[in-house]
Amino acid sequence: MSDIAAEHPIEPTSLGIDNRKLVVWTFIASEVMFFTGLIVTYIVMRGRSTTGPYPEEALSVPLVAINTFILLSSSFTMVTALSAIQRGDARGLRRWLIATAVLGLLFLSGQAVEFTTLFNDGASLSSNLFGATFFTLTGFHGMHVFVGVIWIAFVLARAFRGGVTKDNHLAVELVGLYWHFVDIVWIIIFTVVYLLRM
Amino acid sequence: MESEQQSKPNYLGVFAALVVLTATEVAVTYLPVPRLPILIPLSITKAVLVVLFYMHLKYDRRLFSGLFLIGVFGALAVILSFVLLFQPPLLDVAK
Amino acid sequence: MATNVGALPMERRYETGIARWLTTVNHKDIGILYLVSAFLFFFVGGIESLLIRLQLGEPNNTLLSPDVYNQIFTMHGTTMIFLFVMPVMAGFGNYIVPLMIGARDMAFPRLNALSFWTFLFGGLLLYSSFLLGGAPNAGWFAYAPLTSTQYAPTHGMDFWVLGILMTGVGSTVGSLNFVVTILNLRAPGMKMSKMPLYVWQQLVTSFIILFALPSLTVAAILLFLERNFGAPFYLANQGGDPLLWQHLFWFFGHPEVYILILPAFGIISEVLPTFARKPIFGYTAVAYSGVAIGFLGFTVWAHHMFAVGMNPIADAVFSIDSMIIAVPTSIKIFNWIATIWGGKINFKAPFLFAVGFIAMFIIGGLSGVSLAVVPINFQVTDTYYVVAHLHYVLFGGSVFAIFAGIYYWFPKITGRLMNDRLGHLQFWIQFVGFNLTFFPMHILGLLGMPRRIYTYGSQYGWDTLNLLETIGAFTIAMAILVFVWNVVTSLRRGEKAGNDPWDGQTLEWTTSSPPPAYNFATIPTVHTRRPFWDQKYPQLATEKSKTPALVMPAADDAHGAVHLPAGSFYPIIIALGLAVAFYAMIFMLPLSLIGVVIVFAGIIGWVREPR
Repeated sequence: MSDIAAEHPIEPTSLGIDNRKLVVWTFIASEVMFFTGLIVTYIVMRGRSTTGPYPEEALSVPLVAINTFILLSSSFTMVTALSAIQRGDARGLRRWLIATAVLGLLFLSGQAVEFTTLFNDGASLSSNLFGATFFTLTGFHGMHVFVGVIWIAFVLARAFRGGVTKDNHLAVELVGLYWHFVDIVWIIIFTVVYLLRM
Repeated sequence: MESEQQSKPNYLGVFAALVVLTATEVAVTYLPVPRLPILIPLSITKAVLVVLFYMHLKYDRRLFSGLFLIGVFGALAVILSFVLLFQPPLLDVAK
Repeated sequence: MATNVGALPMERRYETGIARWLTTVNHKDIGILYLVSAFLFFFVGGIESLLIRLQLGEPNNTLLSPDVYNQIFTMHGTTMIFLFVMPVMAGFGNYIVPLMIGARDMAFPRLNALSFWTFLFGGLLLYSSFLLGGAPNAGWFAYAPLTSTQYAPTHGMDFWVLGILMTGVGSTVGSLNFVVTILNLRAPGMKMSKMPLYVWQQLVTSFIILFALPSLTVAAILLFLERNFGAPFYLANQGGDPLLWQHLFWFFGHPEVYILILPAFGIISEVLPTFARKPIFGYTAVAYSGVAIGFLGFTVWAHHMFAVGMNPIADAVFSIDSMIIAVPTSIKIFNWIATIWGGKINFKAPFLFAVGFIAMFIIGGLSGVSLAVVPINFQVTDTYYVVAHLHYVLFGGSVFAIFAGIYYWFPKITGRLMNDRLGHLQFWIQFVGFNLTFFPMHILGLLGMPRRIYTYGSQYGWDTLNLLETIGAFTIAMAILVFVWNVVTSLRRGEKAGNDPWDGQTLEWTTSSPPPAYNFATIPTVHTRRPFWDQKYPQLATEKSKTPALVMPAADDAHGAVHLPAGSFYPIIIALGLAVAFYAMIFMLPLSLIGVVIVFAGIIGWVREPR
């Protein structure tokens, strides 16, 4: 991720793919397994809590549905940002990246509200199995969103320095891949935890 | 770079589809219909849309699809096998 | 910033001293760091095994208390697996893979350094537990609920969790590097079907790590949350399930054993052709069977759990899969034997260890297949029969292969040959000692001696065999001493190796020993699987190739000067930050923020560093 990429011609790679793009896709594939572990824990431990609060009462869909729309929108703004710089629109890039980060932070705020509501209902990591599995799964997802926002900030900083151009914008593509992946994980979580109420 | 310039999916269209699908999913939970067989395909569709179009997988190198699919395949296998393994006993062996 | 070969001055690049080693991003340096550190942990793990054998050498022994014994055998297993075999293989891979594929370095040099430092600090963090309240004591596989705070009240298990997580970061990051390097940095002409088998196995191993380790990460995180935040994942009285731990752990744990053995298979696949002076028999079969093992390895994990009470259908499925996985492994064995058959054998130490490997691994594989039979497993699970099996495959397998690799590549790394007579001596002492230690364990297991007991009464008739095993263990120790002596004297007075002491076949033998910092002045083009061999002996070539097997472009054909990345402090800084955060998580959670800040600062520095 060097600003000096233009100075040193990149050695051609065996597959003709940029190393960094390959590493991000590989990493994403690995992270799929990580979230699978957390999701499967949630699923198999359903209905085994020996005390409340129970998800049927504690979880409510409306707020989280709005949060889901927010995160989906952020994927849209992210891909629009990429589209902008592909056309050479640096201002558009910055604008849409900021929008993505803001939506990401909005999502995290929504999660904070959701968590607080659940705390007030007596749910926590130690309250019961539901609390444990719920907060671990959504907590780690939230951490990933947070890391994503920071990553976006890094790219944004570089964009403001003029380091992201029509010919050199891999950084935007890569943070986008990560961001969409985190969105997909949320799609699954939303369905499994809130909608299926399994 | 590669194939990016050749194909520009309708991002707004995809977004609209995602919104509609999500709204449908939420609506389903308020209706007296079986959830699992409806919600799973809807969610998968959403995920597929994001992967194919936002992550550009449809237009990119097949290697990336391969990598991602290994992960997905592994995920499904784990979830399925764990759900089966954590069922209460199927056979009463200690009869 | 950049280093040009021979021309411009070098800026901000440390050539010698501690600063060089702390900041190096060169794959050869990092390979050496891995190998040396891993062997130091090997000696510690070995001492732990001697303590175990001393305690078990006679019945009703009181050398080690039960509590200390539990810590020692837990650390022995954890050390040998996570702090010896895995890092040694990473060390070999780091040093050799770029050379074998004709690259100048790994794809991400700083990430490479990070993978080493996180491994080292993870290991040190784990060992610091001895001084900070007690080492982990629930076995290397840490079964719940023994790991709960009720039964493991010291911080030992927390150190285990965080040590695992930290070394896990190193393994993950290292594997990402290997995947990209192997897929993307091969020399022109080196299609996947032409690359050395060691590289194939390293690629598969890296994929296994990437898809298996997350399961352990999840399991460990859940354990940490249970112990420190009361989350009842594995606590049955609150609805949790100890089997959740077992499934998550073994979903990682079984692929883990293939992580430990596949690189060994790779080493053997390089050593045998070289010392039999023939190509490997059935290259394609050996390559693809590795892939098959990698895949099938994910389908057998519950064969470690036959006796926990899963339903018979589950038992049957895992049993069948565990037998199926013997097939690709056997394919390799037959191919190796066929490689040796009819070869003009150069009977040097690497070859000896490789043959020993085959014999010992066959035994271990056979006991493994027997364990796949559920009724047998019911009888011998948690007995010494399993200890016998695992040591035949891990010691007789991986460790013998590691020594083959050391004798094989030591000349390339250091420029000096190891003493071959001492190598033969080590082999035979080790071979005898190893079998004396572990073969009787099959019998003891069948006689009913359980694992993980700190002592036993003499009414069972286990005394003699245990004593023999203890003698065997010390015999192994003598072999290791021979090895250390060999290394030390060879470093000082070993015969100069030259580029190609073994009449090798692959690209690493085309460079000087040790290779220059930039490996190859110009990147070669290859057209066969044994490019160096075919270049030396075109009349012996076995692959049809119209173009020359190996083309080394002249220096003026290269485009511009060689760009070598400068050293960087940020990998070690990030690893340090992680260590600080982890210590704080055990002792004073809010302080982990300091560690996070250090990591963050390290990342910022890393990203902004000019390359």
